[in-house]
Amino acid sequence: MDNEQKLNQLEDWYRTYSDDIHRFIVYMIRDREQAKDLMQDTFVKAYSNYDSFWGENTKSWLFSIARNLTIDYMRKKRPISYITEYFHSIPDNNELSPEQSVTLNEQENEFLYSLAKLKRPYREVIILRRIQEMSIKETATILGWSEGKVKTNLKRGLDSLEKQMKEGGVFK
Amino acid sequence: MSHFDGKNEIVESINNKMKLSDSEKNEIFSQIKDRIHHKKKTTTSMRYKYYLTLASASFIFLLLLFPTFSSFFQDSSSGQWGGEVPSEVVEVVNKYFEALGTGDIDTVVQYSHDTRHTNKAEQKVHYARINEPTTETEILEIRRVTSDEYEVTALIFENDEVLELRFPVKKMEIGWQVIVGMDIVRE
Repeated sequence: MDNEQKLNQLEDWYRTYSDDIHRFIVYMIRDREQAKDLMQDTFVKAYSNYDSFWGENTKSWLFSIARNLTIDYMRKKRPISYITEYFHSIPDNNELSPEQSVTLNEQENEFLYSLAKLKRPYREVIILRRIQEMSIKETATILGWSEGKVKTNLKRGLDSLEKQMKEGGVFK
Repeated sequence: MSHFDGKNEIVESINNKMKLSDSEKNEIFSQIKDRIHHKKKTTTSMRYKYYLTLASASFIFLLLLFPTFSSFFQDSSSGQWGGEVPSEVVEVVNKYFEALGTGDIDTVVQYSHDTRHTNKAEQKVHYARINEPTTETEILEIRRVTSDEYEVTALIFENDEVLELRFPVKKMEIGWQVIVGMDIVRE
């Protein structure tokens, strides 16, 4: 396949999956503008790695790239203080960027904040299964987990999210 | 009833608000194409220059590293981390990581300096907010940087994930402290 054909294929993927990928990154990092940059990086990387893709499941492959780039970004960007915060990503505060705080109401803001306070594996599985509505199999592929682990972590993650939101006063 | 019921409206509303407009999507794709085309313009001669620069830089880097390697081999027989690492540093590092494993926040705070906090009390309040502070760790290496600074490399285990992280250990007025709260280098 020549470069022009690859680019056309990439554009098809972009038109099909860019919304989903952008949404996934937004929920992971709570920053709409930065998510645009990471989504852009995702498709540039997909183009670079095109030849290594065997075409089994494009969506899972693109999400895996997006996930890795997002995790790299979080590790580089977030000034963590405590080693366990890699697993309990407590944000410094519950403020979003000025643009987002204008548009999100208190309940929405609290939901994102509660999600951000979860251990990263819980957050990822909730975003993929419940927000992106991906299948267990797709989620397992993206996260590199067994399907059983997806189910277990989803259950634990949802319990944890429920607890966080009750503590935050959104759901009594 | 699913745990997630009741939140779907919130999620839907957030999704609508965060959604990219068509013009934003078009602009992003243009930037993607620009980046791809820019990469293609990398000519063979540019690649040659790149590799030449890389080779030169590597050579200089190895030259600079030589004294470090020499001292490492000279001292490696004296103690677990080599003779260059004072016992006070080893003790602080061991106590800090052990405390992480047991969830002993007092000790974690005692032996770490968090650059985001102005004092230990504030640091302790922050850490106490973390519900499950226990983390399995393994110290891989402690390396001398200067006489007042060392670097510890540790493995962090969580589920199936293993992270290799490095932290500075610095001599401060109150004694040796593991420095946290800054970007951490990951292998």
